[in-house]
This record gives sequence, structure tokens and C-alpha cells, in this order.
Amino acid sequence: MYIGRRLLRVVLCLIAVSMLTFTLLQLAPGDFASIQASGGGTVGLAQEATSEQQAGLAARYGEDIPVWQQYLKFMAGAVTGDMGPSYKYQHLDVEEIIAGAFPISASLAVGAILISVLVAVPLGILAAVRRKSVWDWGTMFAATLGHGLPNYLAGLVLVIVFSGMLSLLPPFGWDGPANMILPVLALSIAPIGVLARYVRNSVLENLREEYVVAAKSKGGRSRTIMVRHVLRNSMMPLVTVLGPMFAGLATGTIFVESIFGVPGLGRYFTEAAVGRDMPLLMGTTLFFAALLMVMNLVVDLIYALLDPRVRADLGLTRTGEESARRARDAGSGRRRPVAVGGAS
Amino acid sequence: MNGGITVSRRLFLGGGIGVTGLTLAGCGFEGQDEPEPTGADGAEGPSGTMRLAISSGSIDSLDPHYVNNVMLVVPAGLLEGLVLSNDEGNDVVPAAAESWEVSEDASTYTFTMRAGATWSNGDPVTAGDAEWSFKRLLTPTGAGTNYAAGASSYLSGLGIKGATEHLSGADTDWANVGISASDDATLVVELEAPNSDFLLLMSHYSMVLLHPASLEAMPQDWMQPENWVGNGAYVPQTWSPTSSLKMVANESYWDFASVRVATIDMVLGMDATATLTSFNSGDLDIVSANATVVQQDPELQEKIVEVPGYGITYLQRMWGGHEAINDERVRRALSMAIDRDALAAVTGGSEGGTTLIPGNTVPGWDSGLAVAYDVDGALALLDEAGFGDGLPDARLQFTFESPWLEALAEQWHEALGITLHIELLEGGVHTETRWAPFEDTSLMSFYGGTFSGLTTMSNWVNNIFGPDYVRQFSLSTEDWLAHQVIQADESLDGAAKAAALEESLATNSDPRAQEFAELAVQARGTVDEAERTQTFLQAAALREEMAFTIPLMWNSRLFAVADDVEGFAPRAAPETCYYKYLSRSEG
Amino acid sequence: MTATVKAPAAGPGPITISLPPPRSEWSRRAARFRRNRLAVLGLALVALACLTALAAPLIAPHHYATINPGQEFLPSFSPGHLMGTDLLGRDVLSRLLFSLRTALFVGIMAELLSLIIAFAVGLLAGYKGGKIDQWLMALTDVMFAFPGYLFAVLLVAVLGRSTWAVILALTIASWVGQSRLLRAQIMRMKTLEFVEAGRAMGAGPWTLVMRYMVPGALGPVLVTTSFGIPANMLAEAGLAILGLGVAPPTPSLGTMINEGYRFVQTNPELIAWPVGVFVLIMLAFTWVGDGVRDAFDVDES
Repeated sequence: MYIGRRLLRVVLCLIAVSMLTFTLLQLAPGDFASIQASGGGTVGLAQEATSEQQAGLAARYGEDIPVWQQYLKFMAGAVTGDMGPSYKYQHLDVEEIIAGAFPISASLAVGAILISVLVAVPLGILAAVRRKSVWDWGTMFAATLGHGLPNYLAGLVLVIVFSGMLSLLPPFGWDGPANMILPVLALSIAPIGVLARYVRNSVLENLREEYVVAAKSKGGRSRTIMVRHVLRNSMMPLVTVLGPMFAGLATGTIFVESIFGVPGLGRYFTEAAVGRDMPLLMGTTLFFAALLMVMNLVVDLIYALLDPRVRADLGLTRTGEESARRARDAGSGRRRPVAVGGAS
Repeated sequence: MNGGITVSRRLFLGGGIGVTGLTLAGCGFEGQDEPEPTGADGAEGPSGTMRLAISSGSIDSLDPHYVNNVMLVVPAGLLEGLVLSNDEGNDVVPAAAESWEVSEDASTYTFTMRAGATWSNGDPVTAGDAEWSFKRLLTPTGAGTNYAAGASSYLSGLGIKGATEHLSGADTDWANVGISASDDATLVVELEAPNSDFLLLMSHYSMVLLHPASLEAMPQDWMQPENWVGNGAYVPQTWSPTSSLKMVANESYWDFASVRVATIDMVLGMDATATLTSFNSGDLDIVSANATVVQQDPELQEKIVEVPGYGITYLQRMWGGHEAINDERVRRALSMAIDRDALAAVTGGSEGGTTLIPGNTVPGWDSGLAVAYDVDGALALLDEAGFGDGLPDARLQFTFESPWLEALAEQWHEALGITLHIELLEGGVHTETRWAPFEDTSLMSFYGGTFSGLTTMSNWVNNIFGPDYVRQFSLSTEDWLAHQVIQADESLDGAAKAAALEESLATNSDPRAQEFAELAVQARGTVDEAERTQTFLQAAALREEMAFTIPLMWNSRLFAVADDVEGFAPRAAPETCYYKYLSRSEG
Repeated sequence: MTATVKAPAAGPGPITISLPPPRSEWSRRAARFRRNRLAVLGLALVALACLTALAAPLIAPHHYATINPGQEFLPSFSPGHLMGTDLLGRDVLSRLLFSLRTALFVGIMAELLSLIIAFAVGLLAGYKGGKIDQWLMALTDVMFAFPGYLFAVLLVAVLGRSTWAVILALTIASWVGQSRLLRAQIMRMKTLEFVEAGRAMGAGPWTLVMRYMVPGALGPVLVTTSFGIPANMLAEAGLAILGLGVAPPTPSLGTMINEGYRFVQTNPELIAWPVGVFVLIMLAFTWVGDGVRDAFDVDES
């Protein structure tokens, strides 16, 4: 019931996103053909197309039918999984582009999440347990720094050090697993910062919880308490951050893709926006939106399952959803422009 | 360089008398690329990989009739036209055509296709394939017009009989176009008039041959590596439009024996700084380099190869805006107040561009065309035009940040006391607004642009800032709007519209623009070299005088090339070099 | 960090306020904030940055756009150019000062605008509830799922690369989270006793919201603001990298970093200065944000 309602909302939301994208695209100055032509102008002539050419182009780009029909035609295609060829990459259908490029972006995102968790969780715990020590201060300083470091800078430093100076890793390309290492590292720096801070605060909070105090007073070994109670409870909220973080990373790898020559989806998306490639832009936008919403849905469900208070209340009430949403907004929503633009 | 071009021109035009088939095989490239004396049977085939990063853009398509970065790779190794350019870029060598004959009046070319040459699937490369390819390019509503406007409009420079009319839709009968395959081995091309640049222009990327059968069978998928059928030295192996195109040597290529590198890996979309880092660490062999960065890096400078005269940066007067801009003296004064060498110095990799023809590389150019940097002269001219107490401010729209923009603003401010408002517009906005009359009448409006092309006089007079361009931009705002109405008029058929547009240009453009147009066409058809150059110069002088378009810089391209790379002979063409000549020195 | 850290929060999100603050609460918060030395340091840095930015025209040794031919790429600590000059011979220090101005202006204005929207949406949705709430939240869902980059491209396309276009693009990307936060705060407080009491005493909706609820929601909002401003600055830099930032000649940190990046191997100080300033400001805002969050955390009592 609840899931059905949420899914319905996702679908309605996607329709709204598609209409918004299409409308904005119609309102935006410039169209694919003229942008393409001005690019061509630098090698040939600044010449306007003849009307025959224009008619041919209009037919080619499906612009010979009313705008609303163009929209419906695309959406019908999108629903049946046939969005037609991209304007720019004529030899590829939009769904082919997404199917080919997204797994690459996603693999980077998964890698970055793994690295971030592996690094940030121990660091965060260490900082919390050794509170006010050099460890705490140093970790949090580094985390804050990483949090604010644009990932293209991180990427460049990595290229200079590991490829330029040490000649250890290939600086670009997508030929094998070795190519993944540097982009994944570049992507994970900001999430490490975010997660480490999150984990530290979460552990600190749990350390103060009554049950921990109680367990301690009963003479439980502190290690057992740490592992059994504090860590377990501290890690749960992490789930809510990781979901949207994944979505943000998977859609926000433009610089990293460009620096390391990774054929991911981010580049296609930017090229589509700049070139007004309607099918590709609609396709990628909808895909990103769907990904984000589905991730949120999954997070909400996991959160609901994990949280004893919510679990007890089998109705999966709004409260669980609310808290999840708040945690989520904290995790990535706030910095979404940056997800594409800079760090995160 | 000048010597080279004169000699070859004389060779191929032969003074216009009794020009017979000239086979240029053996001059220029073959000696240099003679296979190592290890066995004539090519016992030692191509080996190794060479990695190139010469464009930060993507390669959206491999269709040569589609204007995009395909021009970087298709002519360089994937598909071959009838001829290739020589190393200097001033003459041609045989490619898909083995030889050709030029008729006595220099207006009919009879190409003989290379015997035994095949496509990568084993099909013979025929004259019919060539005709099919050119027809596709010239078909107004066909696949070829994917705004090949750049590519297909190049054909007006070729001057093939009936081509322009066919492309514009004025004449739909292919039989009237001067391209025909008389048999599998023979392609006859008729020109409207003799054209000294014809063969060179045939080396343009849009003139490569396509494999008709695979395009017909797979209209969309033929360019996928697995479906690829080509006649070039390389075939694509993997292609990811935004990040790389990997090509391997094509064993069916007619000149496979001289191909030395087994795999060419073209890296795309890589950030400039990352590119240089990778180059320095030895991962890339040939990369394009930013001139300003090179200036700062002495170590890199030793590895730089420069291609001068690659293109030009210019200012174009826009329609509308403050009327002062319509006064020729104002435009010339603005042009005279530009310290072009200083612009070039901050931009790097450029020279001050004193004319709309890159005079540093185009043979026959005359310094008499050049506009001098003369602030006093500019002020005197303004005084004469009645703007002695000051000009209105100006604006300039462009699409990306470049150091010259602010340097120009500073120069105009200092010399003429005007403020230049720089507007960087997003690509789509720029294309939509640059040819529309600028509405704010308090500002003189310009847009900035770049052009590049073959370094011949004919190309820079007839194709780039050519007759239609010059006439169009000399129209008054009202006449331009009227011209556009004709262009958009759907009730006119192709022929009628073409006539109406020509009428509009001929009557409403500046008389000197009309004269320019006539001289340009006349020059192209002139067989005598001295006379031809003279006529071109005469035309060019008129174009400079009107100053609707103001030259700024002659740009070069810089490449950083690894020490062990040999056979890299870059030309002022988008594809830079032909991969078949590349090799790696031993040890 | 310091003694006052309480709540699990990586940012602006999960903060709960359980009681209406009595007047003296503000002084207690201030005290808590003061005890956090990093937060105070951060605040001092932020104040310094703001002052510097405001005074940029007075203290900059040169005009930011003045080109000095022949003086390109002077190293740092050259006479007359403390931080050297860039590729056009412009004074890096002067450009940096004005960049700071641009960055702070963009960061703060975008945050302010998104706060205004967020207050309107959040209060309306939270207070009215019902259909209005559902519609507004559906709107935030859509906006949340819409890629911010696309808005940035299209806005910049329509408005040109002006400072305001960038501010708008950032605002559009950030109002959603804040609206939801405010709505949640208002919804929570609606049921609190003191609000009920106010209602019983006959306070109108306006009074209820303004007198009782808004002050209560202020804490979390302050926290998001102090994290939001640097996030906006980061995003502005990102847009500049993509060629969508504030257009020249107006200098911005993003543009400076972007330009310096090209010369990172030959003239690393060109990127080091703007990055240094940028990172310092990011740190300062984050410390302030941490401090504010701790100060408003009522767990302590």
C-alpha cells in the first residue's frame, strides 16, 4: 500500500520533471541545428540553410510536427523504452547511450562510496572515541578540508602525483580496472569528509545515550559496548546518507570523467544540455530524476525497517519518512548544485 | 614554403596549356615514408600504439557529411578521398584516385581510380562509390545535409558544375551536376570555370568516399566500429564518443605496407592541464597545447610543433545597434586603434592579424592590404566622420573567455575612450542572436568569431568571408531583414528563391561588396597565376576597405610531440596530419 | 571539536528543538558559541572576509581589470604585486579581493533568496497543512529530482553570465532542502504547548507564526545558512569551471581557480592563492556552522 503510493508519486513526479525539462528546452534560446551549424561555420561558411535543407532538418529532428506532439511522441517512446536516436550522436539511441554510460558512472560511484565508508567510518569512530585529542582535531580538520575541496582539484593532484611523478597509474582512459583507481579516489574525497563528520557526531550521540551509560554502569566491557551498542546504532543513520550520496555521485562525475577520460553519463548530459539535444537531454534528465527518487524511496524503506520506533509502528508512518527525508537533505540534497558543479 | 607552392602550381596547371595527367606519386611523402629496408613484402607490419589528444571536444559522429569533430579523424586515417594533401598542405598526392587528367581548358578533371584498391570488407573502391558519396553530400534533404552546411557549402569553393544549384534545390536533376562515373575506374568532374584550388579542396574532409552498400543497409549503424567499412589506412576498433576512438591499421588499405603504427588511440574530451600532465609522463604522444601555457614552460617549448596560419580571429559588425557603426570611417578607425600584436601576445600562438587573409601563410598575400596600428590616424578619421568628441560605447558578444577580449577592451578604452562591454553568451544564445539586429541603439555591436581553412588565396577570398558573406554583411539592417524574409518564404521554390536572394544581394549590398564578389569569382577562373593573384588582391583590398569584418589575429595551432614520434607533418587542416605517415623511432 | 558537540548531524538536517526559547536562552547560546574556539575563530575569519570584500575598492592596490602588458606572470612578492600577476599582467591580489566580494555576494544573496522562498513555502506548507502542504511538497519533490545543472545552463542562457543569473541558479538548486526543513519545524511546533497556549489566548495565525514559530525555527535555519553559504560558493566555482560562472571582467574565485589551473605546472601560485583563500573561507564557515549548531542544541540541559 505504502510502497504503491510512493511509486505512484515517483511516476507523477517524473511526468512533472519531463514536462518541465521539455518546456524549458523549448523556451531556451537556440536549437540543435543552428548550434551545430555555427560549429560548422568555423570550418566552412557562415551560410544559412536553404529552406529545403531546413525542411529536411526539421523532418530529421521531428520538428515538423507541433510541439505538444513532439513531447507526447518522445514520452510514448520513453515509456516503451525506445527514445529514438540522439540528435548529436546519430548512430546511438538514447537508451543505448544511457545503458552504455551509466554503468560506468555507477561503478565509479560505488567505488567511491566503498572507499569513503572504509576510510570515513574508522576515522569518524576514532575521532569520537578519542574526543578532543589530536586525532579528533586532525581528522575533523582534514574532513572539513576534504569536504570543501573541489573534486577536479583533487583529481588533478592525483594525476600529478600518481601518474606524473610516480608513474604508477594510468592518468586517463577506460581500458581496465587500473583506470578506475584515480577517478574513484578523486570522487571519494568529499564524501569521506562528509561521512567522517557524520559518523563522529553519530557515535558521540550514542555514547551519551542512556543504554550505553547503563551498560557501562553494569560493568560491561567497553569494547563490547562499543561494538554491540554504539557502533550498531550509530551506523544505521548512515544508510540514509549513502543512498542519495550514491545518486549524487553517479550523476555528478562530470569533471572527473573529463579529467580521467571516463566515458560516463555526465558528459553526455552536459553535451546534451549545451547542444539542445532534445531526446538525449530528456532521456538523461528523466533517468537522473528517476534514479534520485528511487534511491530516496529505497532509503526511506530501509530507514523504516531499521528504525525500531518505526518498525514497531508497522504502518510505516510519515514520521519515519520525515526523519529519513531530513537526514537525506542533510546528506546530499543541500549540495546538489555542487554534485555537478564541484565537489560532493 | 612559398617556393614549394609556386613550383607545384606550375606543375599542375602547366601554364594552362596542354596539361595532361600528372601523377604526383613519389613526390614528397613516399620517400620519407619508405618502409624500412627489412623486406618489401611488409614482413615487418605495423606495431605499437600511438596516443593522440588533439581535441577537447567529443566526436559525435563518424559521418563526414556531418559537421563536427569527425573532421579530426576521418580524413586523417579512416576514409580517403580521391586525393590527399601533401605535407605542406599546398598540393595534393594521389589517394583513392591513382591519377587524373585535366582538360585543356582546365575545367574537366578525369580521375582514374586506383587499381586493386579495396574497402576494408574486400569490395573494390569504384568511381561509382565516389559519385554516390558526392551525391549524398549534395542532396539538400538527404542524410548529407545534417547541417553539413559547412561541409557542403565548401562545394561552392570547388566550383563543380551545377553543384550549388543542386544543393540549394534550384535544380533537382542530378544529371545536371558535373560529377559522373563513366565506368568503375573513371570519375569525371566538370567545373564551371577553371579553379586553381580544385584539387586541394578535394582533400577536404567532406570529400572522402563512403561505402554505399553499408550506408544503405545500415543508415544509422554503419558507423559503429563493428559495421565499419572504410578505405582509409585505419579502421575504428572502439569508439566512445566522449572519451576515445581507437583505430587499428587496415590490412586492406592499398598502402598498408607503409603504415607503421598498429593502433592509433585518439583521446577525447580531456582537460588541457590533464593532457599536458599525461604528455609529460609519457602517456600521450601528440597533444595540442595551449600557447600561453607553452610560453611559461621552457621544457615543453622544445617539443612544440607549430602550425601557423591555421585560422583567423575576427570581429563582425552586427546589424542594428548604434548607427555610428554603419559609417565606414568609424569601423576603420576602430580597426586602426587595435594593437594586434599585443592581442596576439596575450593570446599566445598567434600573430597580429592585419588582414582577413592569414598573410603569414597564404602565398601571394601582399602587405599593402594590411591595416596599420595607428591611433592618431584613427582619431583623425573619427574627427572627419563627426565623432571627434567621442564615439558611442561598443559591445562584443563571444562564446568563451579568452585573454584578447579584455585586452581589446583596454586598447579601445585607451585609444578612443570608449567602453567595450564584453558579453559571453552560451552557445545557443550566441547562434540565435549574432545575425539578428541588435536592439540597443546606444551601443555599436560586434560578435567575435574564428575561421580556419586551407591556406590558399582562393579559399580565403572565395570561401571564407566569401562573396555571399561579404555582400550579406554589407546589407543595411532593413535590407538584411528583407533578405531574411525571402529566405524564409515558403511559397518560393528552390530556383525562384535562389534568384530572389541573388537579386537582393546584388542590388542592396554595398557596391564594393558586389564588386568584390565579381572579382573573386573572376579570379578563381583566371588561369594565369600572376593575373589571378592580382585579381584576388584587388578583391581582398575592397573587402578590407569596407571593414564590416575586422581581422584581429592569425592563429596557429601548437602541438607537443614526443621525442620518438616521426612522420608528424602537421598542416593547417583540422585533421592535422595523416596517420599513415606516423612512426616511432627505434630506441 | 569542543565540549558542546551534541547532536548527530553532518549538516543542516537532523536538529530538533523541543522547547520554546526563553529570552535568556539567547545569551546562553551565545556563551556556548563563545566556548567553541574554532567557531569563534571561524566567525572572526568570516567577518574579516566580509570586511575585506566590502573594502575591496579601497584596499585593492590596483583595479582588478587593469592589464599591464609586459608584466605578465610576475611571481608572488614582486614589487608592487604582492601576489604577482596573471596571464594578462593583472594584479592577483586585487583580483582576489574583488573575487572574494563576488563569491561572498553570490553565496550570501543566493542563500538569502532561497531562505525567503523557503520561509514562504515552508511556513505555508507547515502551518496550513492539508492540500496546500501536499502540493507544495510535491513541488519540492519535482525540484529535488530536477538536475540543478540544467537550470544553471538554461538560466545562464537566458540571462547571460551575470552575477544574478548565477545567484538565481544557485537559489533554485537550494531552496528545496530549506523549505522542507522549515516545514518540518513548523509542523512540529504547531502541536507544542506554548503554541497551543498562544492560540488559546486568541493570537491570530500571523502572530502565532511570527511570534511563536519563526523564532523557534531560527536555530536550524541559522545552521543551514552557515553551511549553505560556503556550499553556494563552492557551486559558483563549479559553474565557473563549466563556463557558466560570472562573466569577466568581474573576477570570481571560480574563474581565478579555473585560470590558475591551466598554469598549475608552470605558475602554481596562480592557483594556490585563490584555492588557499577559498579553502580558508570554507573552513571558517563550517566552523561557524558547527558552533551555531552546538549553540542551539538544547540537549545539554
